[in-house]
Amino acid sequence: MKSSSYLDALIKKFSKLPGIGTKSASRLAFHILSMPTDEVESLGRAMVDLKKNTFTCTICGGIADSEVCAICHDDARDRSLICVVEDAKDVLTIEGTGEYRGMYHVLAGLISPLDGVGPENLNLRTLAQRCGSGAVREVILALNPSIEGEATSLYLAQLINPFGVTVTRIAHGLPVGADIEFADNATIIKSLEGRVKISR
Amino acid sequence: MYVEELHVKNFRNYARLHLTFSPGINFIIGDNGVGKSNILEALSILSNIKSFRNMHDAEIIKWDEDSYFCSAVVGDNDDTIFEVGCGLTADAVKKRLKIDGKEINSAAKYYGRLLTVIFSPPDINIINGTPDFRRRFFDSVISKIDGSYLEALGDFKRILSSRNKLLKDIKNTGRDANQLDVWDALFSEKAGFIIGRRLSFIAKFRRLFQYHYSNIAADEAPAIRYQCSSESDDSGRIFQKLTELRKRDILFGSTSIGPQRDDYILENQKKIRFTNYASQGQRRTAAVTLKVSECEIVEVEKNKKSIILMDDIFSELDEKRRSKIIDVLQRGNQMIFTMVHFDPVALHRFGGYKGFTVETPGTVSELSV
Repeated sequence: MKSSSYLDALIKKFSKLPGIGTKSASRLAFHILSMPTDEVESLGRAMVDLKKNTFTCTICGGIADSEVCAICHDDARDRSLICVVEDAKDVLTIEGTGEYRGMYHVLAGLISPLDGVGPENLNLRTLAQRCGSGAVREVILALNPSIEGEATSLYLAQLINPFGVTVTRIAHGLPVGADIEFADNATIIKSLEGRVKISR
Repeated sequence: MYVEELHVKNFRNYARLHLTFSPGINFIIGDNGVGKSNILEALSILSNIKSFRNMHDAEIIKWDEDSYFCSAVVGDNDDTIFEVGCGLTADAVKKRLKIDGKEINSAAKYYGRLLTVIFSPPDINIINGTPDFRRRFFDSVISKIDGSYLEALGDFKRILSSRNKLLKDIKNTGRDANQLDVWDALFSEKAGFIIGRRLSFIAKFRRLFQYHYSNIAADEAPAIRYQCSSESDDSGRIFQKLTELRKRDILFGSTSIGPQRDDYILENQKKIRFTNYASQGQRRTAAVTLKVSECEIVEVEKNKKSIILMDDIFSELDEKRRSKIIDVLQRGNQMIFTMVHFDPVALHRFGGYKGFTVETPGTVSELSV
């Protein structure tokens, strides 16, 4: 299927993106071919703009249009609360709920010796500074319940402990709407460990 | 439970095969190398996800093909369909597990549903081999009974490799040794859980083993003891030991204590190791007894009868032990035997049975009896 070298080149580029195989890649490429030129141009521009004009927030490590991101800029947010997440995507997910009004801190990874990632590769220096500033009351660890997530949580608890800041972890266990009957053992064990008092 | 039907496709020397078994006794008879054991292997993969012969999946796929498939209809209270498909791509082997058509994406949820116990000549390695063979045998039995054990083992292996990698990094690239703290904490928590489960399992298993051993053979039954490198299943104690051994672990780049170093020791009353005094026959008896005890403990704990697969085991034992073993096992379980010679006289004790003959490699026909 060597109809056009341009088409082939774009299909190859698309298929390198996460979650896109060769089939989807060629569908996308043909779709772009059918789009009006100005729309293709603005799509291309949007991509370049994203790459050229965004920064890593110097405070939280999230994505920002300037040195400091919109969330860290927002005076209405609760500055005594920091939610620690693995990457910037997680910020979007939690923000999507509209319920959380505190600040964030993006680690840009998890401790994983098997991938050669140690604490020195994570965005931890500014986290320590923030915790030491006296303005922070609680740090919430919202990391995945994988082995690497657990190891990172333990490490952060040790790191933050000397600052006298409370460290909490998001609940692990039964998903909302799930039935106990169909939950697996590990989930039930986690749920029992993470039980919450409702009276007395 | 019992296998009603087995289907395989591109499995070893079978392009396609469909067998219907008797819920009682089944014999698969044929010369060496025609593919008798491959039928048991398909059943063991459907039960344990991997082959009892310790083979890679790539070797199981028929020549010139790039995938195999096997499925079994298993009768219990209801019929359940188990399916394992395995495909080979350029850089990986991909396996798909299904129960009743529904894809199961975790081994811990699949394993322990289709219960089989396989008796085969390499079982002797559990007695004669390195500690690794014994750990693997007991891990597989405990996992059948307890899905959370299998999950904990998976987590533990990942923690262990992470810790070992970090130990090497500390030695070779001068990484900060304090980074071990979190891995030691995770390690001791999982290690404590695993050792605790092993200890309480072996306490029950030991009694069954001694009982069956004395039934099959006349000599003194060896005791089984869990040898624990961390000397305790208490996570706090394990953590403390890891801290004490840290310098040594960094030097060697590996973790010196934990469930991965433990062993199950068979010994007599005078604490002399079984392998130091036992004859070949006694070792075979012990290996068979481990499997017989597995059948029983799984039956007691899961309230289900395992399917018994016997791969050419008769040729290894004398007539007396052979009949003792059959007496012990014949309690209503489905049994599938492979054997080279069809010996109607030796088989008369079974009453009704179904026979299959495998002739030119890959062709199976039902035997009329």
